[in-house]
Amino acid sequence: MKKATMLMLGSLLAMTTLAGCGSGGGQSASQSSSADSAQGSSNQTIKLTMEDRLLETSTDGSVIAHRKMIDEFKKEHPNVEISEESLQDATYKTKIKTLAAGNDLPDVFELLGSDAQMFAENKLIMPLDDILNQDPDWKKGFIPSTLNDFTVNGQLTGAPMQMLSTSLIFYNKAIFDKVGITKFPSTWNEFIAAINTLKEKGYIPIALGNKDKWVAESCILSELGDRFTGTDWFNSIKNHQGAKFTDKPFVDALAALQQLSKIGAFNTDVNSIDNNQQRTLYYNGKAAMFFEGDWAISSLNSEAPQEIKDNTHLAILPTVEGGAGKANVVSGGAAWAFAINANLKGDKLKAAIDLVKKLTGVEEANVAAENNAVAATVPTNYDKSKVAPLFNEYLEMFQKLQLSPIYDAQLSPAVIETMNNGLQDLLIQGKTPEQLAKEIQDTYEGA
Amino acid sequence: MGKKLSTPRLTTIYSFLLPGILVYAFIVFIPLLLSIYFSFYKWNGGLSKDFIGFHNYSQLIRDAKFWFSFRNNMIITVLSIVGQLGIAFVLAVILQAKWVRLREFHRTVLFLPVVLPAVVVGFIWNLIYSQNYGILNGVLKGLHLQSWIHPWLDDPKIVIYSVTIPIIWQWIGLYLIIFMASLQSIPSEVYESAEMDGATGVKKVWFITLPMMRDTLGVAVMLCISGNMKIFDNIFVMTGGGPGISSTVMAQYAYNTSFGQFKLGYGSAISIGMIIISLGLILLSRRLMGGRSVEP
Amino acid sequence: MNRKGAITSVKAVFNALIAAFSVLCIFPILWVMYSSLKTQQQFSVNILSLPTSFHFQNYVTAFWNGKLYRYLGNSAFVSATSVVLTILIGFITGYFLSRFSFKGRNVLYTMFLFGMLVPVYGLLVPLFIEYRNLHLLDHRLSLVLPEVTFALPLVIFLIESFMKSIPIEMEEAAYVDGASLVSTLFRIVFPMCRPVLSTCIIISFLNIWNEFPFALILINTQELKTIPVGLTNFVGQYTVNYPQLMAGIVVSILPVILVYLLLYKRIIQGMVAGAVKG
Repeated sequence: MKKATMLMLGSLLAMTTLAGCGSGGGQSASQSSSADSAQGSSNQTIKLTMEDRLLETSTDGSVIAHRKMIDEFKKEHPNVEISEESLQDATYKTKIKTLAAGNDLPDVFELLGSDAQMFAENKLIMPLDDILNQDPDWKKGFIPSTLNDFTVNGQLTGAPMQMLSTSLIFYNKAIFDKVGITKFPSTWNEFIAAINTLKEKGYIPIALGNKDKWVAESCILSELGDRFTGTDWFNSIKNHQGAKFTDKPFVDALAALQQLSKIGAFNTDVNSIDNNQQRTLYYNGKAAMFFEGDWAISSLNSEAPQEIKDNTHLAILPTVEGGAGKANVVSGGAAWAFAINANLKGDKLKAAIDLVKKLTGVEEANVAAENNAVAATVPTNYDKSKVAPLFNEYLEMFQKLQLSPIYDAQLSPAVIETMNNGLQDLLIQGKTPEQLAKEIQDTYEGA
Repeated sequence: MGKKLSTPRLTTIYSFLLPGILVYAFIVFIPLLLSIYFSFYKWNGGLSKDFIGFHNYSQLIRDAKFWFSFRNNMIITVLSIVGQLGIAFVLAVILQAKWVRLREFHRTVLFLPVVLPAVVVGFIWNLIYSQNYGILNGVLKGLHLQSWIHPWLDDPKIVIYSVTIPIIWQWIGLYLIIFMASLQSIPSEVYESAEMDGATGVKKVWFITLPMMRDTLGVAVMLCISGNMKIFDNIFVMTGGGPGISSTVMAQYAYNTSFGQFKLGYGSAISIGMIIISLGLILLSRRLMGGRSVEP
Repeated sequence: MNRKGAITSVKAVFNALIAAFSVLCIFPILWVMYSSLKTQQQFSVNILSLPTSFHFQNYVTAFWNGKLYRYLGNSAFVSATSVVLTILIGFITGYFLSRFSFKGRNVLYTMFLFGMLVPVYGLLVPLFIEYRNLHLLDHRLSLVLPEVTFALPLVIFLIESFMKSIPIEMEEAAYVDGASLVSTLFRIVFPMCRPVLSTCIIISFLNIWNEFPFALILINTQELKTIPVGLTNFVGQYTVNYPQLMAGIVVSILPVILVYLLLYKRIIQGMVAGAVKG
């Protein structure tokens, strides 16, 4: 029996050692965001924690630019130690929400537009208005609408990190010419006619990969909806001023989207391939068009065969008869921003601000432009020769366009989820537009 | 001297069992209690929570989406019991026969899918099912069976069946090993005396093998039910629960609610609901199978 | 066809069926392996074709740029530690639950089995909060406890049922000779359990190696990440380099396959010796 007692003591000892190891040794990147108020001297190392989606293996122009800025920041601030974790998109979203729920957010992190309100109301992030006002050059550099995207209840919740147009049509001019369409359709009826022609000639008119559920909503409906409803309707929704998802224009937009699927504009596996695979259909010459955002420009540049690249051009959705929306509008906005933890103070806060400034300043914009990406800040000086021709085409087009809101960057997560799930059903005629509109409205009212 | 081993003192026993109990308490029970606690609140992840008593649960009972996802779990579970256990059992019996070639090879290979992480399985089968590039459609076309081609992962009516197949594919090997081990322990004398009485082939299996394996089968059914009631990763990677919610299972629904809509209180209630239902099903299955009692 | 012919054809059919099954099981894995040697362009042109040239660059990128070497090391450490603890605790617990009936035994048994029912994602937030409040996040050993906990039920289960097939006489003889409980346990019973232990090791190893949700939530620093989380690095938001992803997958499943092949002989031996009894 003595042996048994020994064993029991032994196991208890082991357990306490484990626990002891945990509390003592886990200092390297423990997420305690309480300020170190004793930090007086500036040659003390300042430790910042950061969560982002800036994977080092990414070929996305925006990510490349941001990573470069982080590297430069580290060189310029040798006394600041950044403990950074980079995750893939879906994984990041799970993680950041868990950290938020556990009240353990890092010092600097990426904030999604549709989460901004929730994070702000829970006082998890530091409002940036005063901070921005203290540095007018920095503030001026931003494209104004990007700041609006992240303003909640009059407060700026984050520094926008990029500027996306989500709803561009990439089309293969060679295919269009072949079937006899010389000009890209400018009205909805022309668009439908073009799709029918393409289909007759054996092409997939529009390649759509909606497996991850956001593509149909972000890259088509956000803009299509605006054509029908106009932006005022959306602002009314966002600010709870009386507009409803069951209003006729929005239902008509849903019906138009469904019409596309009814006439066979899409490939048959819309909900089981993702946005990467929709491009593959386009690269193989099987599809004549696809909808995606400007991030796809750099993808196309590195993935597509030369022939496809040479024949690809950009367009936006045509106008809709009787629609309240304007013609030269594309859905777009800042989508993601860098946010600062609300609990930071003193030197730590200063370091965090410097980091965010570096990540969203003019320098970053220039590097982004050279990598075929658009930052939220206007680039002043970049090497135009490094840029893909399609990107230049985009920039020119962009000058003449206005922006309409991206649904999933602005509406509440609950509404977006209902909408995204429902769109998958809509696309396979599993729901009527009226049914979906009502579902979304119910979620909107219940939230 | 009695046949039974003399039982040590209670304190001795518990001192040995303490590590396991402590670990369990720390990792399972405390979080579970926290989860139950959260389920009584309306909580959006911030610092404020609203106490709403059983409201989440009453909402859960009336939640059509939840029961639909439960139906999906049931479909998967029933098909798995037939598919995973059934096929594994047949394979285990056949692999015992001496006339099967390359037994070693088969036994090794059939277990391989089990070692793959669920995301890899989902990824592989996504590509198998792919409409334009997938192996399945390629094979069907080659056999001139074009009419059999369906939008495997797009048609809401069949998607749940489509995602069940990879789940069955992955886990057959596990049950195969468990069954093979159990089969080996049936003494050959039993078979020999049956053969002398004239029993052959299928009769042997039905009247001898199955009854002697009853306990193992009970264990396997329980593993199958518990595993499939909480299944998540495979389906998440293949369809994310879509199209719409046609392939959403309970765990996916809980995940969407907690991490998608950020309704952490309701999400906790869903998880607790899942556990209660699984427990009920397992107790039911034990009753039905008259399985081995819990006593030693 | 006479009776002998009929039996021969039935056998042939069965052989063919089993062969088809085996191919179905192994082909996807082989496919991932040879696809990982293609370039991205080659892959998008034809998913099924064999590579014409071996593009080892994918492995170099995965290993060095993707830092897989670090994640491999972390996964190895966490898995090895967790498996050892799981087997130790599982063996002891299974033994006691099987051999003796004592107050609370049934409750304990049920409690351990209960662990198999719990959906992991449901516990993520509470577990995270618990860990954070106790400052246990981001440590080399953070993951060990959860991994052990979720691997325990099956191990306890397997051991408990295996015990029934081991005659009590050996232990009784040992006690008669004056051996203590502990030495009997480890010197006599443990070696007799070798067959089922191999099964336990491989199953708990692969469950722990492939575990994802806890590894994601309880570790924040790059240095301590495990392979499943590290693998998601190859899935960008807008682009996926499939062959490179597959190279990463191969690197991550190779260790488990190796462990399986190593232990495979033991598992077979165990079964021949009359292992897991129903």
